Amino acid sequence: MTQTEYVQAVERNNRRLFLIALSFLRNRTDAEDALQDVFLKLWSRKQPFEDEEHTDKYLTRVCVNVCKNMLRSPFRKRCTDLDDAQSLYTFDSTEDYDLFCAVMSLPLRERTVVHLFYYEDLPVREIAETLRASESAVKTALHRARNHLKNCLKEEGNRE
Amino acid sequence: MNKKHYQNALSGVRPSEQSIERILSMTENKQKHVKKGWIIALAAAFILACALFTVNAATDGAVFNGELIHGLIVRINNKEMRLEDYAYTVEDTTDKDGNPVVHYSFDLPEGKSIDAYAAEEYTAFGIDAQDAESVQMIFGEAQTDSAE
Repeated sequence: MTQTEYVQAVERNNRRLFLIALSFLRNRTDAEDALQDVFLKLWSRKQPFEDEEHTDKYLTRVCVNVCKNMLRSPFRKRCTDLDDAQSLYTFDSTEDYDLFCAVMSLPLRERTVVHLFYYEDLPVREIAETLRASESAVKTALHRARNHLKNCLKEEGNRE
Repeated sequence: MNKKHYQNALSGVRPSEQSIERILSMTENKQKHVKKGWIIALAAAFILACALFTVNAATDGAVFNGELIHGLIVRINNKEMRLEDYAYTVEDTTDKDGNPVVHYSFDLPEGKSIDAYAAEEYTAFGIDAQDAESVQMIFGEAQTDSAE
């Protein structure tokens, strides 16, 4: 991979992969560490890519694996999982911020499935392949996540 | 919630500029790793060269003059003997054409003896073995058969 191709891949994917990492790790610092690890793997890779789509798919797969490894690591001793999102990121409205927090408060499997389905726009089959889960498990997680989000956002609405 | 809504909600969530700069500068770090690899390889080559010179000095120049006889095997009447296990004397002589030849004289058990003449780089051997029907000397790749 040439330096130009690498820079293009970083510019094209950094935000997307950061969000995937964030949905796994719920922590900006960890997500940025994961992102660095993913791109280091890309730069170290010897085999060429067929096209941009191939590169992007490879990066998604690597990002998921890196995040899973980080979650498994016994050295990951961060106490505060969820950042103070409002101070770190900009949201157009309170509703957007509430939605982000509601998704981040979901259990791991549900929030990753929601992110891959709603943000990455991946079909259920590809989500199952990426997460190495069955399609029915993905559908169940998606269904549960929707119910959780519905209740969560309703509570937020009632509180206001 | 629909996809568009969720995607818009996350439009402001992005990695910090510093982390992107770090990622983009990783290609420079990689080049440093390559240099480090070269330094390790050169250091290993230097250590190996020092070790060779040390061994050469300890064996009176045997390494570079090609006079080490480790692995010299003699088969007499199909019985294999490693010559470094036996006492021998070494003498530098010349052949009939005046070329330098190393003469090894081995004292074997049962009163037998072998005279081996190894020319430069052991490409040629001359062997005399007393009371032996067949003698084969093997030094590295070189093999010579001689029948008494």
